[in-house]
Amino acid sequence: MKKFWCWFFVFWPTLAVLICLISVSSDYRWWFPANPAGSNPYEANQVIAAAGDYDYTAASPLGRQIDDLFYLILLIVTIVFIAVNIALGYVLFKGASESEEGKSLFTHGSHNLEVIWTIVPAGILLFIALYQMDVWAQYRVIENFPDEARKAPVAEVTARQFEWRIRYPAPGTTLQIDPQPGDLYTVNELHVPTGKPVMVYLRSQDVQHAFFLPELRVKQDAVPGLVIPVWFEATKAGEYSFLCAELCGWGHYKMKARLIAEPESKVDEYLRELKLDQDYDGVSKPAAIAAVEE
Amino acid sequence: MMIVKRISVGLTVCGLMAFVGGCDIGGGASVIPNVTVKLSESDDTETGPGPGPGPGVKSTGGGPGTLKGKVVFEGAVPKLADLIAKGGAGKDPEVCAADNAIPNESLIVGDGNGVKNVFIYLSKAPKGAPKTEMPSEPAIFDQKGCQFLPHCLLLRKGQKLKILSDDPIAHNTHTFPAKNSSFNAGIKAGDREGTEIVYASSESKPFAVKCDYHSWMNAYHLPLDHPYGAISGDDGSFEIKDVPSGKHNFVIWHEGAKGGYLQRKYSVTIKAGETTEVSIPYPAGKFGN
Amino acid sequence: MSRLNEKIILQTDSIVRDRILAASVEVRVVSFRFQICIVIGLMATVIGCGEPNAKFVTSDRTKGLIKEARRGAKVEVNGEDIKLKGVEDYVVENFGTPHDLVAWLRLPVDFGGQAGTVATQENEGRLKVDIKDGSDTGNATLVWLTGDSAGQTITINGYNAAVGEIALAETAEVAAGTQFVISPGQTLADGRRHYMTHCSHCHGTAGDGAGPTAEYLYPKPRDYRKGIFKFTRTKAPEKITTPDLKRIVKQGIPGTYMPSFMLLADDELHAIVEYVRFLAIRGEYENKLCVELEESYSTAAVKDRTSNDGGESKDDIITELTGFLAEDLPGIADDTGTLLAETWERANSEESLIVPSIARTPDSAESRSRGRALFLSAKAKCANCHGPNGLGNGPQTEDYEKDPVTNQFKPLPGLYDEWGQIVKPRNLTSGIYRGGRRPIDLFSRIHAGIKGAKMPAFGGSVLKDEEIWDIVNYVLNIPHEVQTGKVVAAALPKDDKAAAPKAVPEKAAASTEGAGE
Repeated sequence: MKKFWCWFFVFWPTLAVLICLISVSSDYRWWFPANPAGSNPYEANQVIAAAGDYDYTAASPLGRQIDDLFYLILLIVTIVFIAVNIALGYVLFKGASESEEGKSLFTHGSHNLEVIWTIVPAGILLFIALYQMDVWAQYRVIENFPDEARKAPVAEVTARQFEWRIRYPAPGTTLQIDPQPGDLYTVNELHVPTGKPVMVYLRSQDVQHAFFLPELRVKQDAVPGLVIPVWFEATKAGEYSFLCAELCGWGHYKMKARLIAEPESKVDEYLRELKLDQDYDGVSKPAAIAAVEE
Repeated sequence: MMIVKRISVGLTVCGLMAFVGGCDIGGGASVIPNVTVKLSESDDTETGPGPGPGPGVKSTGGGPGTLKGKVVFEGAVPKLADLIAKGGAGKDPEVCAADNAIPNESLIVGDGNGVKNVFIYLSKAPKGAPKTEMPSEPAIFDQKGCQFLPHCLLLRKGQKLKILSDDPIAHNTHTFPAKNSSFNAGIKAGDREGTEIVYASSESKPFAVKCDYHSWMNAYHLPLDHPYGAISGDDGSFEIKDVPSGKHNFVIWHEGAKGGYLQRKYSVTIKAGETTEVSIPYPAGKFGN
Repeated sequence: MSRLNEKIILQTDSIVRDRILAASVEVRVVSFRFQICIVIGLMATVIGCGEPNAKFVTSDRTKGLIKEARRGAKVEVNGEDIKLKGVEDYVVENFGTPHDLVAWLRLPVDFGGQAGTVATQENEGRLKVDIKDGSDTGNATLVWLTGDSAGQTITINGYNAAVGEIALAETAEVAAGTQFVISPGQTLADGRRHYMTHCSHCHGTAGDGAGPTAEYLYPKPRDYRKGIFKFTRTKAPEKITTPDLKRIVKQGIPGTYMPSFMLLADDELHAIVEYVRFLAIRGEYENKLCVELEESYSTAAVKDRTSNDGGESKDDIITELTGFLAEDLPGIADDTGTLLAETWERANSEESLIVPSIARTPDSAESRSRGRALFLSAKAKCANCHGPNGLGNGPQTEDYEKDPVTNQFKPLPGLYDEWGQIVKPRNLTSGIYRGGRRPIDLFSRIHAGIKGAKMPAFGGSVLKDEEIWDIVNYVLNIPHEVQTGKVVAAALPKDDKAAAPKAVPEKAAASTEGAGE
């Protein structure tokens, strides 16, 4: 019976480690949000790309730094986990194999051991805390946002049950906190230029939501009453997921939108078309034709 | 051992439940409906003589006759307070009720206790009635001093209706028909050309027409697909000419009656070439509004 | 002594032990039964009962009719029992039930499938056909639309678009020129499925605006069954167009609970919109048939007729009703279908679209001040409902309306829409425009009013197109005027001064007098 429990408690951690290894493999791909390069994840008849096409690197430079941190912590934690479980296994089996006769060893404990296994983990955690500080600062401290992103926010994103309302500044103007007469409005589609850091103002119209760009590793809660600046940079052009990550009601699961990262000229073209559509008075030529003629 | 047994039994059962529950027994929103196609052409449908309840009354032959009559109020005539006193209009007082008070038109009793604005009509054209032509002139619906003129209007289905205004202020005429689509538009001040509308279906009873700006303004329209209808005049009298001879059931409707209908089926036999005179009683107890 | 005690103790022990054993066996038995009950109960909740037999809800108006009017009656004709159809029968015959839909081809709804004409018959099992933009299919059903076998279905093995041939699964003789549809109703079936996934929890299975979520929402979700939609680009008497519906579904309605479904694939969006039109037409059809019957055959009317005042007997009424059901209702039902088909078809035509006669007046301070003057004028009376500053608090919102049918005052002051809800006039300072913020959207709102609500139509007679554009320019500027604290000086034209409402704000009145002419 004792041996059964020894194997029982050694079996599960081993199984966990094995499952983790398998799930990352190309057959299961249970890892970071992947960017199927070039294909549109929302198209109805999308063909799932072959394993080699999946790109797990974050689609933003800051995202890559966040991934590096993740790997570091994963490495530390895995080593500790395996070490601890080996120790546990050893202790279990040793205890199980000892005979039941005779008195057990009674000890008052070891002061040195206690100190060691307090200081070492504390040191590791302190190391992690200090190591990640600059990534945190880059991401969350407004003064550290890249200047070009701070100066020219690209849009105001307002979360609402259950959609994302986007307000762009009129072409050629800077986005103001208050809506301006020429502002362009759309819903569920955010266009940003690639290759440079951009900033959005995040608001919420009703309850808490969260601005979540999985492939870019961006997540920020939208709190009603606050205007929160969020910056990110999309390295590659493409269509990315834009989800809500804070339970906000019955429609939270489908509060999806599109983040379309494209070259700046294309973003400008999109905004021009949006302006034509928004100014459409029923008489002038349809926006699409006019845009082409420009 | 007991505990282990119990736990393993429990686990097996839970596992089974999960397995079974996971199967989509019974469907859910993914049920694919069957679709049967129905062709556009109708099968043999006999179109009856027209909408309206009750089988059509066959004409007994011979020429048409005339129905003449008077609606008489029985009992003490209630005195109704004016809707708006002179000069007391909450909106546009320079125009509305500026010179005269606006009376409550839901009961107007004239000479000999005759009741005005009672609709007398056939719910549908009698079978075998001759085809009658649509009047070429449009029906006129005017408004002056924030009152609709006329208060009650009878017209034909498909006949043009001109909505005019003789007031220097804007009005907003809003109709509330049962079968036709409703009309809700502003009427400009002093519009003598008129906005033209047409009622595409006939109705089975008169419906209200209101002004959204001036909530006291109301009128009643009744489009019919035949000419056998009339509205009683100031002294309660009415006349319907050229009614095909035979037994007919007329509907008597008044806006002030409880439930609207004074009589749902007022039976009259029309004799060829003769004038049938009737006196329709309006009991005081029937007045509800 | 002690031995006697021991014996007694032993005996007592054994009795007690036996009792305990017996009791524990019982306990185990009871608890096992209890376990089984719990397990079966849990399993039942997990499995569920499957989707109940879904039904389209009967409208309240239909429920107000007497039984024979709703479900028809049986009559004996020449010894045979004939079932006469009532309102519900006609609705089910022409539109079906949720799991067994009927695609009535007379209606201008895209039911799906591929329509085509037979060119020639190669042999008994092969046809050469003409299908516009066809695509290959495998096993499918084909329905003949014209010819001797009109209305019948036949299975086909496949359609090859490249060659333009259909391989029939059964032999058939078909004349050239016969029209058919392959897999008819595919779009309708898809529409129903997608509608149930995305829309039904607010809008209800039958589009009655009373799904489970609806009780928590204000304004209530649209009840399609009147065939009225508020935000259209069509003229005042016309219905909504299909592109308008698609726009609403894609962009949502800001300021309400209708979210944006931007991420729907195009074919899903198309199927959903066609299904919504199907539900709207179905609701209108049911409504119109009810209207024909309810004056004389509703429960209230029959009660009135059989009362002392009415003096009729129930039997007489039923006989009269059966006569109506036999002779008149079939024709009426058919005509109603045709009327609805025409109305909805016309909605999608060019002639029902609002096209301003002139392009938008460029946005300028002059245009806006003209717009403001019109806003306050007695001609347009916008301030009556929307308030002099556009806050939606005009004097009309405190007025008690009268119900047009009963002529009684409504319980609460304010403006009621056709669904019986109080709707507030739009607060124009918010910058939220439910029907869209494009100039053409605002133009359509003013020109045709908001159908089903109290916003009247001003186009055509009351306001000319130039005046409407001035008002549009003014309205689009109101949110910004509030922010920056500027009040656009109102230059009231001299003629209107006499009739101007008293609620002109002091600043504007002062500047009017100051400006002078």
